[in-house]
Amino acid sequence: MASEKDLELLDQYIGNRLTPQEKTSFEQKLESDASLKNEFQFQQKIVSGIRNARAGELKSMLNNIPVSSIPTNGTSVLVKVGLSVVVAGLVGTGAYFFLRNDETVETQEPIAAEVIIEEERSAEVAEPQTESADQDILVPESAEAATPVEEKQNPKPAETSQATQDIEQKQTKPSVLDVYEPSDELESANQSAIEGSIKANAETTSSIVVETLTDKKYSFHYQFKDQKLFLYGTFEKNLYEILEFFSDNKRTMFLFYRDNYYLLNEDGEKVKPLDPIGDANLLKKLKDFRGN
Amino acid sequence: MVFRSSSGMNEKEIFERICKGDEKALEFLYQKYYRMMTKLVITNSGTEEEARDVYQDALIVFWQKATSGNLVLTSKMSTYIYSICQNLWRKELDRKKRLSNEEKDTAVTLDTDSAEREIILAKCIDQLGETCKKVLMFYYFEEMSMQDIADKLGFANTDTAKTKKYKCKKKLDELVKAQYSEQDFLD
Repeated sequence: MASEKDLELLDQYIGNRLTPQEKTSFEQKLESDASLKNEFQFQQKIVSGIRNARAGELKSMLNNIPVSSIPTNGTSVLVKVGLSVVVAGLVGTGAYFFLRNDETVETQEPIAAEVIIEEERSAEVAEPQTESADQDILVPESAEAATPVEEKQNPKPAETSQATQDIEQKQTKPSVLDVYEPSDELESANQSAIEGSIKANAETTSSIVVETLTDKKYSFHYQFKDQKLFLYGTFEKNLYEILEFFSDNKRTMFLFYRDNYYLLNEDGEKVKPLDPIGDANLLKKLKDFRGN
Repeated sequence: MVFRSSSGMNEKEIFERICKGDEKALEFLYQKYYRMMTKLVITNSGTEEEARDVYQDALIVFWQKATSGNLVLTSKMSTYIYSICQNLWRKELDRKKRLSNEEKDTAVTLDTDSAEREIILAKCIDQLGETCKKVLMFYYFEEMSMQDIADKLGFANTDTAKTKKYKCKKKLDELVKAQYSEQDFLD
């Protein structure tokens, strides 16, 4: 029969709470004490059951989180629209883009990218080369080239960033695929909006997920529906930003897009047109808050 | 008035919150990397469901390592999670390959025992109260400190957390033993 002290040590051993020295010494004891070893096997399975139950709980929690549509093997409508925007932009201002691209590409994070390259080399799973079109959309600019800064410095940020993606894509192709810094995608405006909402979650449990849609009827509109914000139009990725203001438990939201601010009225579920704010005072306040 | 810019949360802040066991931060991270991580599987012969499954498992591995304090990040979180996804998906592809190579019978037989045991345990865990469940999960899965458990569950101090954990674990042991002999749990 194992002593109370041994059982306590056993619990800490299974709970990964012993120092390496304590662990070694306990393992020696375990080998020489049959009843303790039996108890260990029993306890180990119970704890493994607790761990499985918790993992299952976390999984079901994650399953209940709304996520934006999953990229499919084929090219989605949104991606196609995005692509056409990229192509149109490239044709229009090709030479200009290349000049700008050189500058922007320098702002990437080579170290982080290298990590991925290494991992990819060791990986047996290789991303098909034919995914380049999709990847154009999914590979955003580097974190340093985040939207607000570029918008300030660049008169044509949309085309430039898209072109950057394209160039980045071309440069990374020769290596074993997926040679992009995955976290760069985080900079997408959609995700940034969620990023904003988590702060809200922490404090007020509010949450806004943004989705961009294209619709023949709505060229530049928005809609609040199912606790989501839908932006209708050909919004270039990474180039819009959602600003939230909280006052007296009331939320006021603004969209910043291509140097303009738009008020987002959350009342009702109607699709509403986006009209730029003209009020100079309000604009000044918004610019101050946004830091530009 | 509180102003909240949509790009205000940084990597460090998210990681710190994850380390403290903040589930909201985990939810956030899940949404943030969703497309990127699922794409890895989808573009490598996986279905959407498999992609989601792999990503969720990877994130849970990351969460467990972070909450237990066993993770020192030397790269971005996304890089780390991405590599877990890669490993998990590679394993899954290997498993599929093995299954198609007529090893099905063995695999199924091996799984039966542990699956049965898991059902027994899950039933017993379900019989515990919600607080008991949480204490044990935080202690054994998240490997949180007693202080963190006390903070999270609103206990007065670490001694209360310790006592609670001891009693809950004892109760679970008894529930399991009452239904099945210890022998059933030995290899």
